[in-house]
Amino acid sequence: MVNFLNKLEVYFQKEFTEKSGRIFIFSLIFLFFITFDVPFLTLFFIFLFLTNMIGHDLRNGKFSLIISLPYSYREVFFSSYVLSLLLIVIPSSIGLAFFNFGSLYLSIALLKILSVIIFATAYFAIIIISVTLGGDTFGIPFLILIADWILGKIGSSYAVNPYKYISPSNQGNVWASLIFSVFLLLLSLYLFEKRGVQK
Amino acid sequence: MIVEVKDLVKSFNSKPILNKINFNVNEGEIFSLIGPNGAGKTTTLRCLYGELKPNNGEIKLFSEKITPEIKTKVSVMTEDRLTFSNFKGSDYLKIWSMLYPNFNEETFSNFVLHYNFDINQKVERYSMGMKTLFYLALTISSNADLLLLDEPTQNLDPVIRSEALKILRNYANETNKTIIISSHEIYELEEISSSFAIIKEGKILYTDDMDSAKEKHRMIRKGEPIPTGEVVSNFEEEVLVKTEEEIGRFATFNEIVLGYLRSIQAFTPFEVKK
Repeated sequence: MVNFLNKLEVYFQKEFTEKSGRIFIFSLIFLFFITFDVPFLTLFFIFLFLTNMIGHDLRNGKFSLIISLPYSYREVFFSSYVLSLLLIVIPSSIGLAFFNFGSLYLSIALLKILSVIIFATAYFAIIIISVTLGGDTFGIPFLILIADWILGKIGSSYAVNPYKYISPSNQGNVWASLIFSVFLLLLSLYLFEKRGVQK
Repeated sequence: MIVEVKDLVKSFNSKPILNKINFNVNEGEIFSLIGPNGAGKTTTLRCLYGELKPNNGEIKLFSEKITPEIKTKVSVMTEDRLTFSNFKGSDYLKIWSMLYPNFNEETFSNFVLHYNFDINQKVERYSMGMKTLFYLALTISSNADLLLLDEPTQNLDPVIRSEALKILRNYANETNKTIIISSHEIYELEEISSSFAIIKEGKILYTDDMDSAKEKHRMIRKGEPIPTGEVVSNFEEEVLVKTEEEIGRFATFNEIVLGYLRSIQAFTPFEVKK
């Protein structure tokens, strides 16, 4: 565990040194957009941020450098996942805390954070799945995001369109979509470890 | 045995790159993977440090499958000299010393002083030769039991190149560490290698230790009787033969490598009408 924390620290240092500008800009975006509830733009910026994390490294060969060090695929996967979530959740939480102090609001704020985590988990996984199956990090995942957004809105009731329940963008039922996101995450980990990079 | 590679197969999108590669490397050896561009040398190394997942076959390092713990004993110099963006030399020093338990900062400092690295400068701004030397400094300082070096003398001038080869030779000989080098620089590989494998089109054509290979191969003049053994390849005036008999002259390492590389059907893009 100590060893993994050590590697996590190195990974964080690498990401902060390499992507400081992007991390700063996205932190500012998350500070305001998630707080002010602009649904599609919020999801789009989280998606865009995720394509700039491990997906970016897989695309430009930097992943090759990190895996040549004493890391396993699983360690890189979880280091990137943990860092991505922290970089989304921390600024969002700060934004929400600054703008709303009421005790009634706390549960809504926590639900909002949970909803962001579910979405980020699902799209972190989708980006990895796309890359490991030979696709790109932006195009195919973005088409999936659009399809997910549209499919999640179709139909007046959940009986007509049960996908509304699990849709990572619509999240008709928070727990069902959480389970779906975790399933995608595990699937992406399995594919990432089994197939590895494809170039 | 430090490295065992058995029936390694790797394809990219159904295009075969490695086709049943087999070789072993013992402790303290400097093992060279020799072959032309696109032969599969880099792919083999990428499989060895776990970046690429083989489609088939088995790789064992230190008699175990590759794990993060095993990888702390393995230090890698990748071929393209990619660097982390915005990383200074001092950032590299910090992360390598955190990841490699036996990292020797004194050795690294010796490299910094000797080659005049500015460790406060971004490594991506170094020249290609400096990047090669910088990675050499990191891999040697890691004190790893196994070094995997892809073209470790690429972009170095002749003087520095000879110095780098000497450093690698001493690292293996004096500390009993193992080194695997991938290159197509036959002359410099002969200078430092103790064993080698010739690879072409994803297959190992021949593997042996340096002395044994020279003992087993003879060059005989065309027209002389061919001894019992295997004819490897034809040169202009001579034939390279693998034999136990005392005949002709001993082949040089260069001739052995070229002989095996030519032994597969030559590339003929057009037919000459007679």
